[in-house]
Amino acid sequence: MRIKSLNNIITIKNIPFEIVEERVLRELRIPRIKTLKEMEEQNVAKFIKWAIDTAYTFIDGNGSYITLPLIHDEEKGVYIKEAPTIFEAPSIQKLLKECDYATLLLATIGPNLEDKVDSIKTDDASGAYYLETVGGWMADYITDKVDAFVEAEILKWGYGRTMRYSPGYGDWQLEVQQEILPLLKAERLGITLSDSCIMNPRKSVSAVVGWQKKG
Amino acid sequence: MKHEILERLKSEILILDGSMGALLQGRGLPNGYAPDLWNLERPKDILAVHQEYIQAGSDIVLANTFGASKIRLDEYNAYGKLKDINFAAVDLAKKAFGEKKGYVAGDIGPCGTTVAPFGELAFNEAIDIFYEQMKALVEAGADLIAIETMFDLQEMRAALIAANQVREIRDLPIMAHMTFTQDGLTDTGSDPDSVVTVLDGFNVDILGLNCSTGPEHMEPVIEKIAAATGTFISIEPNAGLPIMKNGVTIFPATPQEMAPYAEKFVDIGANVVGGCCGTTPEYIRLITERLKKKKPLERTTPSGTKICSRMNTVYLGEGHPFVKIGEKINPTGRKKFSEAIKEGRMDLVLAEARKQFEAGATALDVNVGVPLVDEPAMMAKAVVAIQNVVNLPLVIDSSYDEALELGMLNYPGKALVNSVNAEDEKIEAVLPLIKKYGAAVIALVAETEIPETAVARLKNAEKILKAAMDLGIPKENVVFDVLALTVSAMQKGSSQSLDTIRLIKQELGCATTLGLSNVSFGLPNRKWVHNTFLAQAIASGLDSAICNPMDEVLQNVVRGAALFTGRDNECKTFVAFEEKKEADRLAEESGEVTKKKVAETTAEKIYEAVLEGYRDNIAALTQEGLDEGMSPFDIFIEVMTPAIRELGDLFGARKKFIPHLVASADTMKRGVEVLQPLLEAAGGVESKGTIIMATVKGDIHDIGKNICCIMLRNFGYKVFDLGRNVPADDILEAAKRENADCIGLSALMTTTMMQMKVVIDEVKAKALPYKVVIGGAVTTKQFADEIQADGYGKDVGKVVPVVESVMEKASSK
Repeated sequence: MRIKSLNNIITIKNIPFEIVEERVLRELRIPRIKTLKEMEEQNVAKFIKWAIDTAYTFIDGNGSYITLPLIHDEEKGVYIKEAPTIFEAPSIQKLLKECDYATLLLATIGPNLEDKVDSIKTDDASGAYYLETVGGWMADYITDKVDAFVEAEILKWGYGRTMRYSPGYGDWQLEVQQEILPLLKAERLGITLSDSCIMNPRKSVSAVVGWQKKG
Repeated sequence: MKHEILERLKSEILILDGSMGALLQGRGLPNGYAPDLWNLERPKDILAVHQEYIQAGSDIVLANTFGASKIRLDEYNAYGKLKDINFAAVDLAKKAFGEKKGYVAGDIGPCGTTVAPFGELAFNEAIDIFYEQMKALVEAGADLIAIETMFDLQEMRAALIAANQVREIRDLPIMAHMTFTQDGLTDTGSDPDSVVTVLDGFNVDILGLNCSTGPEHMEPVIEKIAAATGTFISIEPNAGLPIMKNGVTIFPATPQEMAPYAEKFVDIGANVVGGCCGTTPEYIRLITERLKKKKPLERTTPSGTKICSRMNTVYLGEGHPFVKIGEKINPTGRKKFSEAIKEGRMDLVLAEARKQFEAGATALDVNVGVPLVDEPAMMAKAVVAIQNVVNLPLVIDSSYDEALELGMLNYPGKALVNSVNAEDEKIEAVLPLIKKYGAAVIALVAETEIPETAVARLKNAEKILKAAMDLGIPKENVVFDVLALTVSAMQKGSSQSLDTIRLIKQELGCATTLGLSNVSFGLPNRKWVHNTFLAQAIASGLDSAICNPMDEVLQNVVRGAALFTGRDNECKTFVAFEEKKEADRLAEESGEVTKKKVAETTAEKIYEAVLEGYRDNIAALTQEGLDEGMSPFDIFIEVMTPAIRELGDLFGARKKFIPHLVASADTMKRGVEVLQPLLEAAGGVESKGTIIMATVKGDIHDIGKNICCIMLRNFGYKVFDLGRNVPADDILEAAKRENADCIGLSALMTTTMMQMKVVIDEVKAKALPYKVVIGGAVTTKQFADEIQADGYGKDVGKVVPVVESVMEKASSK
């Protein structure tokens, strides 16, 4: 038996999803209530419902991950041989200090939702705002789904997991995505990187999870 | 054909073996090396492990072939030896039994990658991979096929199709195990009932679960499986949840801790018990001791037809809730819908799926038949897309067999297929597909013509059912469409449909359905006509209908009829629904009490529209105000601006939130658009200042910034929006050109936020007369201070106060 994703890209396509009203309300910074029905301003609720219904027709959740062995070196710190410099940031060194492996992951909701946002933003700025917000949360949601597969594999081998950490957090620069994306063959998910290291589709997430020795 | 092992399972508990990998590692198998290769390289070790398990009590041993399939062997450059490895494995396991009675299972693990639509491996390729290995195992003499450790139902379906194909070489029993996590679901979210529904659809002989968790987490799953099927159940738990110790994965549960669970499993309904990761012959010895005198529990399969999606099972039949199959994913007579399908767009299909789901449909009919469209490809696309947004079982509806097949192929559940009829040609084309994909089918009780009488329709039903059962499709997988005829054209036809329902129930014991809306075709007030018929049909025993779930009358009829037909035990569903409805009504009433007084004058209505964000009628209201003689300046300054200010106060008091600000800003913008030409013609509103707005270079996010622009304009600022990805030079040039007072910068990425500093540094270095305010998801007050921004807005709600404050400070200097 071997770790399924060890040096092996696992791709997950057509990820089923549910857009939970309560989460959308939180993303829109509306506290306490759980459903749109509870909103006093039903006209605003109607717009948000439109955004949710529209998002259902435009989200295409896909992801992939790969697990790579970590090398611990007194001088160089923690690194992977495939891209020795991507974990140089102190925060990521600390995160992976007690880990044997690192899983790099990618997730995206695809380009359709943001294309829709861009197409309506001039004539329907509020609609674009609500839809963009739903899309932002759904990118996290799809990432959580991919993360769940990673976690299952980590637990299966008796490891604990670190938190999920993304380029752009703390001192871990977005530039590392220039090396992370090729390792995951990001083009298979339709993800590319701009000169300023922004992923396209925008609603995409890259991250690392460490395989931590327990105890 | 009767198989000895299955005969024995009627009266005995059989014991499986335990982990192979752990024992081989003990014999020197390197970490990460393929155990399957040892069938050829270290056969004595494989033989010895099997012998240890057989001595411990195993009646069934799994040949060492878990990873002996194409993709997995390829990783070790050993694909060329696939046949030899599988043959050697079966041979060694058989040899291990010697003269002792026992069974060798050809062990099939996951194929090594994820299968479409969830993964990239084409479904048919997955079938071929499984078939290749299973064929070798059957030819090598395996007594049964054991498919194990599957985490995705779609991959399991591919394996089962392959298994049923190798049964044509030699008939042998099939055992199929899924893997469930601690939350009682598979990794891809399937619940035990849906797993059983799919597995039973393929007529597996023994089904169950293995790996991933210890015995304690398997207990509730086994309970659910036992309640859902009469099929033999097998179980192989891990020795507890794994932990990593000294660089090695270990399983902490001892044999003594594991063995009592084996007894519990049998008491719940298990027929075969063994162990998975971490278990050794000692575990099997103790389990055997506990179980050797136990007798299997007698279980029965619940009545009715079962269909399921990947994660939701629906029953059709007597005593089960009436099934509303949503009819709306159908292009017939719908131009826009047809156009979307022609263009390969799924947005309208998905919108209909969601609407019907939210309205309470229990399954969805999927028909994408548009002339000149590649219907099979479109069916595949629709089936995949719909499953992403709703978890309802699907009814795959087409008159083309190829579309039916591609629909079933892409569906990781047990579909209901619409349809077959009594024509020989149709029976020969459709029923083998139903069998192959483990689906259920709607059978129209007609041949080329619809028979007039119920008796004649029954004969057609009998013909189809016989053909199905001859192929090995159980009668539970056939649902008869009794054919509802248009009452305005054929008044006696409806009573024949009702009689057909009764006859099919009585004579065949099968579930029934019909297409409801046909009944009322051509009549006024159609809802009442077909819903009246529906009540009669349910009373006659109808189990489901293809109908419009958005029809509230229909929903009420279904809820009411369920009370009289044994479909709503103790009226619980009906009462719960009515109670919820009443609670919603009371909540709505109490909300109304707190509502503000109704706006009466046009000015009040405009004020209210801006305050509440009633954007749809603001343009008309504004025009109405102008028509009544209000000045455009008064509407803007005396009505709209105070309204948006009050909203700002409510936002500050946390009584309104960002979505309200956004809606109101958009509303006011639409109203101002009506006023704009008039305001400009009269010299314009005095500007409160000029602001350049931009998302900085490298950043392509601008939705929040766009809202900020609208808000600032609503408050009387002259705003120049430069868009996104704007270089610092362009921003400064625009500021100079427009004689700006302020620059507003937005960034959403850590990599791009430093561009804000570039702009500010330039302003400071050249002592330019602009105030710079910043905002955006990644920015903070601390960052704003560090780069010496003049103002910072956390979100769109802060933009106006921040700009006002900055401008006020500037003017007071």
